[in-house]
Amino acid sequence: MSLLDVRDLQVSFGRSRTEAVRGVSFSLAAGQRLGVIGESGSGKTVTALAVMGLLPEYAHVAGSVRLGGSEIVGLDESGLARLRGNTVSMVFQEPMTALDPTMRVGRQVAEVLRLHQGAESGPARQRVIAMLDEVGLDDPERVADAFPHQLSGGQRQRAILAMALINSPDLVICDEPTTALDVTVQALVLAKLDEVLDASGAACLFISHDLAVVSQVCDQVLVMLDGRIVESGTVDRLFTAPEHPYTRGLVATAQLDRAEPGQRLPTVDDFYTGAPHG
Amino acid sequence: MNLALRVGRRLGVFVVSLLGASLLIFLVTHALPGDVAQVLLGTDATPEALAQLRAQLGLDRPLPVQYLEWIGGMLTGDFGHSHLNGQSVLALLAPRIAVTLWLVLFGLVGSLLIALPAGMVAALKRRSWPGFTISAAAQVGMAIPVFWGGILLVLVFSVWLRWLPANGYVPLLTNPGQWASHLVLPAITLAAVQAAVLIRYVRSAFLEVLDEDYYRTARSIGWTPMRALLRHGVRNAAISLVTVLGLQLSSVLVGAIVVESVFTLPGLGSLLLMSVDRRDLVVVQGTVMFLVLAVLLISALVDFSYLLIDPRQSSRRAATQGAGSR
Amino acid sequence: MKRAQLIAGLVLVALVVVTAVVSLFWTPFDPIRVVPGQRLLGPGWPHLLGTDGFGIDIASRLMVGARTVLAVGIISVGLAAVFGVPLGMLAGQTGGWVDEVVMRAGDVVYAFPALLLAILLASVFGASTVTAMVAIGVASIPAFARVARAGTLQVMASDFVLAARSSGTSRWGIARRHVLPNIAPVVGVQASVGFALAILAEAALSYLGLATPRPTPTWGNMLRDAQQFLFAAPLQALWPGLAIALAVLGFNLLGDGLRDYLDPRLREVP
Repeated sequence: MSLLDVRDLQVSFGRSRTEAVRGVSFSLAAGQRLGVIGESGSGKTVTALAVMGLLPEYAHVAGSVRLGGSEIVGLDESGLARLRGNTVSMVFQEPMTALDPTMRVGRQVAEVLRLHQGAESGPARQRVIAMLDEVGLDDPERVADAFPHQLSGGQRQRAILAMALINSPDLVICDEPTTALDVTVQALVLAKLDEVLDASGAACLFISHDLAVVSQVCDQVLVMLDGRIVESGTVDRLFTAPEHPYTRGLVATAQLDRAEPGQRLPTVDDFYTGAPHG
Repeated sequence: MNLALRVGRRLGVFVVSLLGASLLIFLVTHALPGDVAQVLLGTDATPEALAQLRAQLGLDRPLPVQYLEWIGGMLTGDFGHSHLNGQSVLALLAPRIAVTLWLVLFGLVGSLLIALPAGMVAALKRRSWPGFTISAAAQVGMAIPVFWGGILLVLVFSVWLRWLPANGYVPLLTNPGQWASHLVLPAITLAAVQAAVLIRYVRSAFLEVLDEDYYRTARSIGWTPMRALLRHGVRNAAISLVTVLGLQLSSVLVGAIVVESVFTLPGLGSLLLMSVDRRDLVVVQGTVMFLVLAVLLISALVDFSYLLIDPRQSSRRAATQGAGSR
Repeated sequence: MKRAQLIAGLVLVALVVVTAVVSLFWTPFDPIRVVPGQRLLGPGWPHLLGTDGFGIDIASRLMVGARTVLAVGIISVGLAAVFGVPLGMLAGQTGGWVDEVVMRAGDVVYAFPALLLAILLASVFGASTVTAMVAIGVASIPAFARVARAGTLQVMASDFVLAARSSGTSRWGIARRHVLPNIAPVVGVQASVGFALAILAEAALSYLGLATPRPTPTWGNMLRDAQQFLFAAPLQALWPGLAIALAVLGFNLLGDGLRDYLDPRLREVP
């Protein structure tokens, strides 16, 4: 039985029922890494939030999302809270604002342990420092005692990664985790993510607009467009033999280094003109 | 901006405001011609007697000099002497300060006890009945004049139920039980009216937290909305709330003066009102100055405490203040 | 929901206005003449709300009281707007030390609640409706100045003002043609909110005896009278307070409704 089973997920917002996700289905096995590619508005973030049960009140969710045997859709708040930070955790895009500015970083990372395991601050601190070290932070003790504004974006994002992994969840959802970081830091964080996921054996749902980034962490990829999945397959197959014109556009723009000198750089529009935000 | 500079600047603002206020008070009380000496000695006083009294009271000197004398006097603790009974203003104020202070203290604490939980619930449940009811109640509460609220409470608890006294005061040291019973209704009146105003601010402060990314992070690790708000929201909302409290100082003072009148409490407010009635200008001048001094001082102390407790916050505020002006 | 607010506000405000206007021509009974034989009657017929300690019909006095409410509101808000808005515009357009001075002066006045100003004025000039209006008006100037200044700053930063300035329009021209019309809505909202605050302030002042003296009825001094007879005729204390609360509520709802109507940003996600 798969870890995550999404069947015909539909999400719309508000009274006007603006559709964001129109019937998405996929499964994720334990330990599997699945990338979700699409541009903004494709519904990829909404899908991720639906798995976490973090959609706003005015969202209407239909279909089924089964995580580790529990049905997420329609689950009450306390049931969802039990799963979050325990079975599933999430890393968001913007590290600069994701941490409470009035609380030390180590304490925030330790919150996950206090919440789900009732850990006391002493032993929890040891585990926090060990985890901060594992995600590649130099001088983890200093980081643990620091306030968020004393750390760089890359450091903060790694601390958040530590927060997401410290309680050994079965599934880690990453929503554009490196998009807001400098290119060099991006590579470092992605490498660490790959390493840490390997070590913990957690599954990963990795959301991005950048196929190149996804290919560093995941083996399988879903391509989302306008609320639907238009193609799926391994990273290799998508790069070598993309079927949907939109996917072809994505692949071309991920391989800009292949453009001929003096030639115009390819855009997604060259391949597929139906994209709403093209 | 470094700390010393900010503290110095705030101090400067305090002094300038104080001087400005004193000027305003002085100008108004000396706006009319005609004079205290006349009032004191009566209509058939001889011109010599009038002149002598004026010289004695310092009324024959030019206005700017009188102003400076008044300021100088206050710096040495002399707020003037009542024309009617010769008592020093400070001596008149001293026994009454405690009464007003108790009232304001209980009123503020009470208002926070009501407004903080109510505002939180109003923010969390803003799309459902609890949220609507609280916001509506706050709206209605703001429309109710504080003295009517007091009278209604008296109607219920003194006239009908006869549980609590309708007016009067007993000092704490004389009889704690009666002291408390005389302060209950006034404190509730003041607290309820202040709470109605505060709830709106608390609600919007927490609504802002609900939009923040760190709130979302807290939810994602498994906190329920209420606990996420409590753990992370309170501290972050505290800053704007302390600001609001500082701004509300004047209105709390006004509320206290009115409530003192409703319940006949012998505080600073009733001294003021009595003096207005008797046209005892010196006491009015001195008491108003004292009250304005207190308000400006507390507001400055609140600002200082921001700067000292958390210099980090002042740089964060400066960063976020670029976006929206106050 | 938001529209309901606006409509409710309009209805309540209209009620007050109509009552005040009607009272100029007719009230059920004489609102001032003492009638010794009819003291402290409870609600009933013909005195729908009863009579007060002097035998005067309460409903009639309430109607006349509406006049003071409107008069004080209009004059004090008018005063505050007439002085506050130009000051705020000046501060916003000129900037620099002019801005600093105006804002600091505003802070000083802001520290003076209307009550303290009214106390000062009453002790010198004697208590009257006029001193109340002046006190409340002056105390409200900083609020109007702030709102006008904030609005002016926004307008000055906009593209069409930049265009006007580069085409040589004078500062006064810009103020008249661009700033004023654009800040008018927010000033209007402030006027409505200010009106509500003025009503509360006047009521408190006349309750304390710092405004309109007897025998002219205001809702505030009616409550003062009623308090004297609280044990004998408790119901009397209800009506004036209710009137004040409804009037204030009306203007607050109106102000909130206008504000929501004018600012599309505030419209909640559907």
